[in-house]
Amino acid sequence: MGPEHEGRALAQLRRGTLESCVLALLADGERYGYDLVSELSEAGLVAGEGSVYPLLSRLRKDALVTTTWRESLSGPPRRYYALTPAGHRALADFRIAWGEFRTSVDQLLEGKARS
Amino acid sequence: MMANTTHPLVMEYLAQLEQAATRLSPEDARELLADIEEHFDAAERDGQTSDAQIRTIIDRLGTPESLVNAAAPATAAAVTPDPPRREVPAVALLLAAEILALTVLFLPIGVVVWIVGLIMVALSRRWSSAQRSRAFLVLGSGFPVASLAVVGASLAVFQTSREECATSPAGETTCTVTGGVAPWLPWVVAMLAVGYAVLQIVVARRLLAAVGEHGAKPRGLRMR
Repeated sequence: MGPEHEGRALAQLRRGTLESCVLALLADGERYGYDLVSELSEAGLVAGEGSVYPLLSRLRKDALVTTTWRESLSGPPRRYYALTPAGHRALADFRIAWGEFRTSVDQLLEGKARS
Repeated sequence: MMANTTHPLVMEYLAQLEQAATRLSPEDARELLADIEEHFDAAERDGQTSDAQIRTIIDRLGTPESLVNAAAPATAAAVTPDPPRREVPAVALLLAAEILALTVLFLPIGVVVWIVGLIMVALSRRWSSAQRSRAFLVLGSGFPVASLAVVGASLAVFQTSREECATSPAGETTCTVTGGVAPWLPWVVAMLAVGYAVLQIVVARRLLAAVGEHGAKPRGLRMR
């Protein structure tokens, strides 16, 4: 498999999981948008950092996250993101789906590797 | 030290983003711009203010076009188009043809509507072949069955009415109705008609529900 195909597979995986990764990062508590983006980027879970912001607004419109403005010591107020109960449920659903999905893919890949 | 949002590279990037965002709704465009400006502000507070650092921030954000694409669900959906939705119109047309047949007057229009409906069923991409055959057999049969029922009913009425004024023996005049439709027959026909209508409604609902399930995306797990 060439590096080009590898890149495409990774891009597709990121596209499919980014939303749930954002929910997972917010599960422990609220976060500042910039920190969220940096963390996703460092973990290699997102290709373009900027695309996280439209995703966050969509999650807010879907009522999976809420935003709060907080004053900061340096500079203008910051927008913090937190999970709603619906966001927690969506994350729990993803956890189950991901576990099953991962097992199925692993079994398939290992099966293919043996034969 | 220069504020990040007044850096020439950042100003250029924000101008390009504003230009690209014109195809979003004004609200979405404003929000996206505000978020990206805040990102530059936050990076500045993070101590990233050199030219090289600002270039890196811009590189990592992605092109203005890619941000707008991420904010425009309609455009993203256009990349992987859903198969056309022919199932709902197909069901509607087949049932409409059946009703048109019952009106007798609009029967010719019914023929056209029926044929178009059958073609739509044949072209369906969301139904399995079993579901398509069910649509053909149960819903597609509606128009011919209704047409035959209408023709049969008018023939029966015509026959009985002729027989009513048939007998007149010598001397006395007695009218006897003979050879007409058996009294239980209309009831049987009505029962069959009701049964058939119920079957059609049940099948139509199942077929439409099957399409609805296919179209719905689970919340929080949308693949985009």
